[in-house]
Amino acid sequence: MSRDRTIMPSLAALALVLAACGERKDPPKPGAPKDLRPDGTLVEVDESQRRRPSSGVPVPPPTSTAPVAPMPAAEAAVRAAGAALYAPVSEYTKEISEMVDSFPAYVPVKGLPGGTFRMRGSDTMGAYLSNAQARFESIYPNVSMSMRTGGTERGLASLLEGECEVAAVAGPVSDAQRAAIEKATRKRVFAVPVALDAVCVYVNADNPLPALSKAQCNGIFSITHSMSPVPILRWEQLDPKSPLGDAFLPIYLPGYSSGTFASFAEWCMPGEEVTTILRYFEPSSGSVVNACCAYPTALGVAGFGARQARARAVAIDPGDGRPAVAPSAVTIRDRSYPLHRALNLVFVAQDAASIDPAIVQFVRYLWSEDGQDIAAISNIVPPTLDLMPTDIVGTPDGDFWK
Amino acid sequence: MRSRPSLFLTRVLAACLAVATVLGTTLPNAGCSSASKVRSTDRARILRNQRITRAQLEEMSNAFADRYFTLMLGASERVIRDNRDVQQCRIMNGLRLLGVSSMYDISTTPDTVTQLVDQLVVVTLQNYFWVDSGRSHRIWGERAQPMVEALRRAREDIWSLASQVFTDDQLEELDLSIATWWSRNVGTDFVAYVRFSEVASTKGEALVEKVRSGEGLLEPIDRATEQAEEARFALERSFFWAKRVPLFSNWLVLALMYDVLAMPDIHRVVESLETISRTAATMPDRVNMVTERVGSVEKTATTLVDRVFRNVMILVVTVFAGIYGIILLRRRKAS
Repeated sequence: MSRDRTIMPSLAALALVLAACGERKDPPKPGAPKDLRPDGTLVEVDESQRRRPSSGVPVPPPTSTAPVAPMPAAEAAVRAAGAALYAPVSEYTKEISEMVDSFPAYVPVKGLPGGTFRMRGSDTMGAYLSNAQARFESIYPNVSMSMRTGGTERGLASLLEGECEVAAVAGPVSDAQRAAIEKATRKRVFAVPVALDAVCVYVNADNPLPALSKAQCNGIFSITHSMSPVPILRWEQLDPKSPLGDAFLPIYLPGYSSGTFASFAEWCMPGEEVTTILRYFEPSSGSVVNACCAYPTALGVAGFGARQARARAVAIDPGDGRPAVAPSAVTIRDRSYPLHRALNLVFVAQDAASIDPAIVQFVRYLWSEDGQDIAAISNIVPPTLDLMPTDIVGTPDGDFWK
Repeated sequence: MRSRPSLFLTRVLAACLAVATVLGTTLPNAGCSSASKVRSTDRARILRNQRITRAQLEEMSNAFADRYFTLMLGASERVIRDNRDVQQCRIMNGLRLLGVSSMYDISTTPDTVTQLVDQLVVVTLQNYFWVDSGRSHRIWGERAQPMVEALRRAREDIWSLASQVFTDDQLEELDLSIATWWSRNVGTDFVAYVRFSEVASTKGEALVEKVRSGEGLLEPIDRATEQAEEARFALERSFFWAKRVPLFSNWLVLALMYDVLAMPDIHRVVESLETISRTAATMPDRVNMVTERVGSVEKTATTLVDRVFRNVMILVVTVFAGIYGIILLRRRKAS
């Protein structure tokens, strides 16, 4: 060790000199930026992935006295950690690709009257609908759309109050909600499924918890824990062999207006209030999953679409004697995962014939290969063809929407 | 006596009216009531005049930048200390250097609201990139945990700070903008220098302008005093920046050093130097070992020589004894 210590300062000095020479010798070419990977190899990177000018120098702050240019060395280090170590969670598998391919191709209609419609609702559907909106607007420049999140319940409230034309709803619309909207708007409510999703219970990727039953979820989340003799507050209560032992179990939930949480509560604690012990409400589903990624003891509830590599969605015991089922695109599509649900667009009209043609075309677009491709990229599961709302969008002509 | 029932009736009617008014506002929302609940809290804060001023926001934003620096310093030191893996140290140093310099860069942005949204974007994207994707654990293994938790805490802090400036609707808009941008740019590796203007484009500018003009929880900007305030802020920002630079300037040197140490040729040289150093360190042991071996060989040889000498002596004695015996026998025969 002492020999190493005496060598290090001289090495550092040598390194500095060499670095200065190295920078001069091999300047980055503007057209071919490169990454220095952890294995020491230089690899050309895609220019479109670069978020800043190729020099990596930030815009100097106007009021600063001595702006510090970020180090090419530091930038290279971080870049090296990027692509080489990236393992996306939503791998666009062959399976998903086949699902997407089974949808008809979208053919734009001529003479679609321009229009404006606002969408509001589910956080889970937020990125999906925003991305679809951008593509749809590029097909029909005379159609203007906007998407805002805030939760399923807020979306329905906005539809009821006339603040939006389309509500994005995760899960079914209850009879009471439907009746309230029909009463307020004096129009019929249409709910059309556009994708599939599931409510998932997430834990940290290193947490070995195998599965959860309805009674256990009730014991964790309900303040009255009607299905569990005692409230579940520690990890050892769920699994005596858990490496987390008697560590507390903090729970992370999306807000009260979240359809995800409403569906979950309806399943495991109908009519019961959520516990107040170690409970944290997060601003979005993404934030819930982020907490599970960061904290080894965290447990959260969020949609399947919010999944990330460092969080694991726990298998759920269906309670009918079958083994516990883990959520996946396949188990959600074949409905074997107990907490599957449809993601719906909800709107009002006097009858099916008087629905805004722009909305009809948008639904049709979502039911196309392009639309479902966006769904898959946004981590949402493509729906099964039997759910197609043919009364609204019609029937495809072979492999095309016409 | 007559007035009593009429007073009673008036009270009952008033109560009914009050109930009807309350029901009138809540009934249409049956089954979806939480939206108005959340927004009413924003309105209540505005009505109670609890808006924060630009000066307060500037202070809070600077405080966040300092806290971010502290979080990164603490977490990165735990990863780098006693870590002999040059690549791990190099990436960690790059992460903290880019993160902190970006955060202080944002703190010197002329507009206070833009500062906040930029901090929000950078920290949220860093969480997507380093925490959620599992990169941290793949790079640093078990050592990653302090950094992962530090980034998460930074996220909690900045969203909590943003909730004091933006209404819930505006926060949702921000969150959706970031999530949508990330879904389109998954894998972008240089997140520390992504700015809100890039994430939300024109929509974002409109949002910032709305907040500036008072459509949020920030006190609207007084155009009359704006110039004077701006000059004061500019001066403060330059001091703020100048004071912070020395805090992380040594990371720049470290970044260069790690970068050079990670070069294949230098890495090879360092490895051979280490090999030589290790060899030198083990020399005394090796000499001792050789001496021991020589000693054992010597001992073996001595034993062997002793044994041979003894055998030779025995042989010589036997031969002489034989010869003497033969001579004696011949003399007897001759006599």
